[in-house]
Amino acid sequence: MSQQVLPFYLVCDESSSMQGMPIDAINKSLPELHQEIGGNPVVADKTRFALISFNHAAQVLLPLSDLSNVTSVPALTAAGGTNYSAAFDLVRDLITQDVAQLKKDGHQVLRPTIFFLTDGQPNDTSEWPAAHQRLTDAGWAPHPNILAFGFGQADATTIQQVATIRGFIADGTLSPAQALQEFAQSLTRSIVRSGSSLDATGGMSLAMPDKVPGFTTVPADVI
Amino acid sequence: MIKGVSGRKHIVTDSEVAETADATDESSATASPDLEAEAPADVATDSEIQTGTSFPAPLHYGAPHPNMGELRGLPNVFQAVPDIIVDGADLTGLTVRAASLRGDDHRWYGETRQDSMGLSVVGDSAGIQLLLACVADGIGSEPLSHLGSALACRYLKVEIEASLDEILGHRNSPQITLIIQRVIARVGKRMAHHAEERGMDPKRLSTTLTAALVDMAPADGARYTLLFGVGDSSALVLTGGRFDPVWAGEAAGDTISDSGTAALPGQAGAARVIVRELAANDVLVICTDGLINPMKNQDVSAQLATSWAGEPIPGLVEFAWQLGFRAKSYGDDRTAVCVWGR
Repeated sequence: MSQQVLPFYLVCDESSSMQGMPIDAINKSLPELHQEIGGNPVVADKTRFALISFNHAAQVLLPLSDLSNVTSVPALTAAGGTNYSAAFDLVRDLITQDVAQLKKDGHQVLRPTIFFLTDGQPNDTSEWPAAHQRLTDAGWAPHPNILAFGFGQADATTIQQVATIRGFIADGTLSPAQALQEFAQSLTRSIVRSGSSLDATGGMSLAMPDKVPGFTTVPADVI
Repeated sequence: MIKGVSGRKHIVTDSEVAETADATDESSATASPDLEAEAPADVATDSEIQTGTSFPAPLHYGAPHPNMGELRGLPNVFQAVPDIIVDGADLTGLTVRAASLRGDDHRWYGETRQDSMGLSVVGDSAGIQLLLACVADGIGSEPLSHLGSALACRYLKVEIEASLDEILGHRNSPQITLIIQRVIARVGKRMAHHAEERGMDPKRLSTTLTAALVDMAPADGARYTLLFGVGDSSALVLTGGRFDPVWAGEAAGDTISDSGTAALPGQAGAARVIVRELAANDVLVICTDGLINPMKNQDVSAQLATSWAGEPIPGLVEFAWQLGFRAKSYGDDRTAVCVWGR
């Protein structure tokens, strides 16, 4: 069996409403995630991680990487609006390129996973569903699994629509900073467990959180 | 001085030591640990004992993770096995080297090695002797599969001995496939019985099994070898400097399409059986996928071909060192048995 690789994309809202505690919590968690995954030879070898931030536009802060080869993960800066379609379009292009490159390097690529984090309602209400449809189109071979996390102003319906397998809504039992720390830990755990998982055929499979402290789990919309 | 690392039963003179050192300076292509090159010729005095760490690290391919290979904790599981086992024999006209190494993934998580291996000489009632060598790869998702791989090797010997007259009586007949499949089925049955006696689901013992029966007395330079297996472990013949897969459609290191499906004790009917005659200079290799997968890397297979095709045949520790190479992203247990017809 050729070497399997599981790509993870963290797509993170950095609109102006993330200013202060929320953005600080994320920026504090990312180096911990980097250290935990990059320092684990089993998981780092079998997973890849990319960081994409978005407000009115979307940008790649860290291209899809083996975290053991990364010296530091860039920080997010809060500013601007909330445009989901910019994020969905960008990540679709990235997945296309990244999967092709990984295959060219001789890897067997598992379906990419997106951890999508937002704290507000999108400004591009009329555009984002089409961009989301392009990203999750079952006819597009590398369409990703999406786990969506909402807090602050994000509402459960939107999170359900964005998620393809599971959504999580902050339930107010934890402060935003604590909830975001739990979010980051669930992402790290998911990567570590997936990277060290073995299914019956000796392959890897996605290990995802059932529950995240501070969040209520909502099922993804069945279309 | 006995040459401790490479070479077997080979007395090295001082001048040979010097030659070895010179050769090593000019070419490191044989990739053997060069302990002997600097070893003192006589009993070492205190001042002569080396204090540095001159033992070379295993070869690296493709920038492995800096923490790869850390041993970390000891496994805490029922009947955990040692990290590495090494075995071998220098028989008349046949040399065997075998090693089973815990994979770096299991080392990182403090889990036990799930691969097993077995070497023995079996004889029929007419006094014909054969080497029986086997490797077994316990299925990774089953935490007790290290017991299964060990049982498969142990029961295989029992069942081969019980059927050896029948096997040799049909050694070149098409019936041999059926006979071996029955032998494998009985191994599976014993394993299942072992599990059931202990109230365990036999699936917990899931393992692959690949084995070779090698004639100890070749006729006219062609050595009868019967190879068989269940699951995705491999057999190769190193011939003319290249590794030639024994089973058709299985190029060295290629993806094996049905990998991961066939396993003992459940699917013994899937056993593959083939007869192959080995030439005098051929080296037979049977191994688990922990070796065959990184051999996709041309540098790895070229290095192993160099290490095993030439002279001298590696010693036990050297053989284990050769298998201990580190290749990025390949963290499986690694087990191989090599058989030289000399």
